[in-house]
Amino acid sequence: MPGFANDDAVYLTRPQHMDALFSITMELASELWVLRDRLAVVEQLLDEHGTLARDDIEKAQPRGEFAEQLARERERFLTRVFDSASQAGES
Amino acid sequence: MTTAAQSAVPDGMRADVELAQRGRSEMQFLQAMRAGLRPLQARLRDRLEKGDALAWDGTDIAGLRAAVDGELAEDADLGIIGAALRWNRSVLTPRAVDAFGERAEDLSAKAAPVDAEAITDRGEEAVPRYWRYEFHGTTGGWDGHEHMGFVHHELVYRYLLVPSFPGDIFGQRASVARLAPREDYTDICDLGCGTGQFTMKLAQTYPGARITGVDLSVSELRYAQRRAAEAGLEWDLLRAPAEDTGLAEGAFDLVTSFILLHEIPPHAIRKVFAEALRLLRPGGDLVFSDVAPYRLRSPYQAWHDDWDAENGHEPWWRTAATTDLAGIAREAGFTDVRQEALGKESYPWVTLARKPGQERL
Repeated sequence: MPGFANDDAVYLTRPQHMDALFSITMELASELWVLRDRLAVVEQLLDEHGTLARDDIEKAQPRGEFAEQLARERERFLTRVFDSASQAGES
Repeated sequence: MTTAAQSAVPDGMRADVELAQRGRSEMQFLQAMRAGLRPLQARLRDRLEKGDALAWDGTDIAGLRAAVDGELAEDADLGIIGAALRWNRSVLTPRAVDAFGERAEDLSAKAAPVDAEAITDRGEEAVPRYWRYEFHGTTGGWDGHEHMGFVHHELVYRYLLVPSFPGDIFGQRASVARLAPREDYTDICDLGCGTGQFTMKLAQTYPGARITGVDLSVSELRYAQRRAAEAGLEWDLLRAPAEDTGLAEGAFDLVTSFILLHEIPPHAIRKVFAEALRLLRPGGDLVFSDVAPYRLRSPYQAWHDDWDAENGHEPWWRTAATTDLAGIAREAGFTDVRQEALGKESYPWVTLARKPGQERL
């Protein structure tokens, strides 16, 4: 009843809300990747040097096998994200 | 792993551009998105090629779009591809600008023009209306950041465009530069030169020529000047529309453009050909390379080009891909007009023509 408690409110009812939710998902996925990359860099630096300073992380430029490993993980991560959305659309 | 020797970078890019961790990983994420979408795009293409929607005679792109878009109206993959690419494009420039900002102290010094005052500027009154559009979703336009030329060439190309697009982007520019019919040009004008990616190939191919670069973006011209200087070159650079340069009549023996024409409306394309004729000496050559005509693409690729243009901030791609550039060249007064496809699916697509009259001196 208008003016009283709405126990089953639905707010995201417009088609544009779906696109907005997708964009939010991408923002979160990007941020998650930044953190995964940062953790991988920290682990690699610790493996190589046993210690690190904050600036080491910022200056680190992944090369060679480590860079290729990160690239594979990025692609696998995003393939899973998009595949899950694609499969949801088929159901 | 990490801070040893500098990594190999694409042709013509600085090897000493190193981003901080956030900027680097955000740019790499955007590239990985493109890679992550490929399985969806492959499935979508496979479905289309097994059906009837791609039956097409090469003439009516609107009809092809209607047939395929209708077929895909309920397709989840196309929706995800569209939403993902839109988000990707919307954040690309801001992410690249932020990445630059994280390293501004180091990168500003590498981006600064050598002599900004030496770049001639026809002024705001010469800037056409179409220039105000944010092509490719480049937030703020090509001058949306003081160092957009550097940001675009060193970050957007390096992290996204070079790894994402098929073929050798800079090799294509070199191939087109070599296609000009003579080897002894003395005065070359490159219209829509941007940061000088194609201009550099012209300079390398015709080392004896004096080169003029024309573009509407101040920041792209400034970085073109920087790139030229670091290669030991000096170019005359001018901020002006390609269709109205104000340069002297008959001052050049070769006038070029590379992927300029699909950024401008049809009336401007006609004016660019007319301006090129005016700039050339009798017997001078025109070499314009641009997007492939839809009629020469496979039906799937034509559909994809047109869908991507509509969804990727390319307002003039369809008209450029369906316009008879050879006819426009002849109408402008050129002779010996011919067209050549240099690569897969007819890209790069090059229009060559000559200004009639005596052989240039």
